[in-house]
Amino acid sequence: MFLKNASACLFKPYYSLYLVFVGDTRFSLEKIFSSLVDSWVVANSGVSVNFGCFLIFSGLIFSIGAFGIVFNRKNIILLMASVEIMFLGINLVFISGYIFLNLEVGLIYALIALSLSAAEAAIGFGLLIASFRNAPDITFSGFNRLKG
Amino acid sequence: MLLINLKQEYIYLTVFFVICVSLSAFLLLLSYSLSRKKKNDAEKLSAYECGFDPFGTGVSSFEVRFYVVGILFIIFDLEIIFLYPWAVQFGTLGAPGCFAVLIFLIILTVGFIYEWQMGALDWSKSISKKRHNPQEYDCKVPSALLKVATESSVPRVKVIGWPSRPVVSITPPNVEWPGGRSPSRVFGKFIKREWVAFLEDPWNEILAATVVFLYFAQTYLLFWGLLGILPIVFFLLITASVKYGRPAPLLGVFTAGLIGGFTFLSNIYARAIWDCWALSTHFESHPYLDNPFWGKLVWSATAENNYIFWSFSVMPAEFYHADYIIKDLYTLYVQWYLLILLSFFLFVTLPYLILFAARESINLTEFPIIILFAAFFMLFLISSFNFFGAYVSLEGLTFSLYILAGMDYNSQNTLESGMKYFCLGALSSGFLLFGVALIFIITKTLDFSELKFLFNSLKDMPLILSFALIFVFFGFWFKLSVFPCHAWTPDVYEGVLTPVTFFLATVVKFSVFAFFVRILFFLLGSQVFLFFWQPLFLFVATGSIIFGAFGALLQTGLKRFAGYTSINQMGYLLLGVSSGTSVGLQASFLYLFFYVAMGFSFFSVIMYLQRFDTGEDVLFINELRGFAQDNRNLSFFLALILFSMAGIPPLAGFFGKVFLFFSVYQAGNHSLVILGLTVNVISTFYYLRIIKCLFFEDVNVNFPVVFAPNIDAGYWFSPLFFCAALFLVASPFFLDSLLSQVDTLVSVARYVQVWQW
Repeated sequence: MFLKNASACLFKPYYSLYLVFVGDTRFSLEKIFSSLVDSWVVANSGVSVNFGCFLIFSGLIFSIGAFGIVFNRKNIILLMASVEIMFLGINLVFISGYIFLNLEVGLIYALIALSLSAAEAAIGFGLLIASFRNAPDITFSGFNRLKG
Repeated sequence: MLLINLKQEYIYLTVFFVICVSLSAFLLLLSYSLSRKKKNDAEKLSAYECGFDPFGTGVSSFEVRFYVVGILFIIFDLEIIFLYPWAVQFGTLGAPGCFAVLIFLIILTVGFIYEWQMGALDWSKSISKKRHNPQEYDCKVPSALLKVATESSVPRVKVIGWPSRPVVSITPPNVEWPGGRSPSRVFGKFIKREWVAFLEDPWNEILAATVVFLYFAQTYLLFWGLLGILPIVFFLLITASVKYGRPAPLLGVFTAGLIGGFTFLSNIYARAIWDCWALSTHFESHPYLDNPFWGKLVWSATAENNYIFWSFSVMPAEFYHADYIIKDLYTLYVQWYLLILLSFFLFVTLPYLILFAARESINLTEFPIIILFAAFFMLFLISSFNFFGAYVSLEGLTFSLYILAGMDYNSQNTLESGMKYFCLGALSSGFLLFGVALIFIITKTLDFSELKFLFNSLKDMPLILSFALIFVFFGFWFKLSVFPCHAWTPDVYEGVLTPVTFFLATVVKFSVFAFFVRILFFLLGSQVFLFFWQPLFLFVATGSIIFGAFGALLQTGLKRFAGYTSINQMGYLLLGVSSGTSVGLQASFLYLFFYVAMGFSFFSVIMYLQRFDTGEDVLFINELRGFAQDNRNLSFFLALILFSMAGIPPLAGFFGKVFLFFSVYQAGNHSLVILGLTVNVISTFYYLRIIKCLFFEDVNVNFPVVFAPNIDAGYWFSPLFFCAALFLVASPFFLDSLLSQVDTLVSVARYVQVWQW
């Protein structure tokens, strides 16, 4: 049973991708994504994932990232990781909008948000490298010059 | 059922886990129990080196350049995400898709060439630069320096302003201003030497900037864009290749390109100006007015028509880019003001940047370009009509601000403040996006017009929606730096370059506030939402008024003081907004205009004050002691600004506060008026402290302060300061016209709904 479902999960989307590649107009990107999601849901029909579960899960991931930023007093690279985790949790919300509410634009939002968060991480690492050149330290302990 | 399925599917995984954990625990225990216990000795802990004595620690960190290349790789790798949908839909998209992707790839390639030229990919060369130490001059008193200046044959010391106040202009050594490097390798040989010589003089640079700006403006007015792009490309190529990595000539002409680039909106300005004029001269009726340049202006105003209908009839809202962008009168007004602010900002900060780059031998070529990015995103923020579009533009603005904040990459203070800004900014933008995502899930749309339709049909406030809205508000409060999200403000304002502080305090606040008003009064304008956000905003406003005032009381640093002051002023602004009436919004806008004007005047003076001995910027309040004895006019002007900030009657700040408190009183919040006035009295103390420093204390003989010694300030600044002073003093005289403009703004912002309490 497991193997059968797994095969359905794995090969169905690729077949439709192949059809797109060949030029079959009946298959579009949306259909591929929806079939992917459908097959995933069918394959895991024993463990049904509903909307609420998905949202709670993404909210948990978001809060892990947010608490990581707030309570992380030591390492800046960990902070960057927390930022990424936070944005990934938000992306899950957008993607759940696509999966459960058929909002196709959610996927595009998720893509754009993903690239924006990557750009943010790059800027953060740039700042980190610049400060590392001045004082080779990646902890927050040196950040006590400005206060009052 | 569910549990059984779970058991069936995950039983193997559980067994696997149990085996893994028990095996590793067993091995650990085994090694712990069997191994011989021995105390750690130095020999064992030392790093193993073959044949010679060990040096250093065994743990060494990676070279930073690995991270740089890693980041660049990730960035370029991620762009493939955008190519993937295009590749899948290649046949459907056709030639336009190819064209769009080509533009995208060209932009990427330009970025790649840029990073290559900046030396980010060079493994062998060290990228770090050491800070140039400004030379310590041994003469401590002005007379001694004067003696040196008059007697020495060194050409870089020059006396200006003789004989009333002898000011010595010191050009720092080792720097030929505007300092130079070899021309670019790419286009250098095509550039004639005379052009370079022409652009080297900053005055010619400004002239060129003006000419280019006018040219672009004209071009864009006549031909819509296509022909106007060519000269931009031409000028950018020339200027980018004239002197690679040379700030001085590049700054001006890039700025020209930037302002010229903005003029693609010039048809919009023309219309906005036209509308302003039409609104101010109360025509009874007008025929159709068709103009090929300004578009079609229609008015059908009668005697009983007010501004709302008028502005509707003058210009209905237009939507672009799948309704993500709106062009209505509110957008046009705010963009118009924003562009005026930006051009003033660049005009005032350019000389400072040139001087700073020469003094600290640092490359600030990117500064105007990043200001360009910020301006682009601010314009789009104001005109965005979708929560996701607003998020993207706000995020782009924030990215530009992160880069601007870390611009002076040799100063640890700057980098610290940039890092702090980044950490808290990432948190706040995450909150904003989470709120947006929740709204998307709840309402299935992010479009403002659909959301407004949905929200108007609500009878009660859903809990999850209020949750999401608070998340969104958090993001905006952070950008406005008001009470619960104000913690970053003093640190960032103190650490970053003064022009960046200037930018953060004035232009960014203006644009974000303008968009925030659209959310509050257009989107959340119904009674249900008003009852939701009004108490919230009253809390935030009073909190930031109190925190700003009491934080600024004991500050010694000028920029830190400005940070706390801006928290306080933003609190007053939100106090007007939170009254929820159109009068309150009107008062807030009036106060915003005055606030921005005062900020511009304040920073354009503060930025150019330098210590006499080291040539460094003035950063502390007590360094201003006795400045009135040196420069009476300028300190009078500074006092005028400070009095206006404090709200002393004949000046602009007073009128802003009067209207504000009047609106709050009218909305029924009498206790808040009393509180605001009390805090205002307290805040007068710290403004007066600076005035006391300026006028009633003796000059610090060790380091008197001079105003802009390296540029001939008389030409530039006196007209500007005169205008600003005139504005501060004479604002009551044209208060009527200002109010009418603000009134239009408010009525357009709220469209139709105006309720009174």
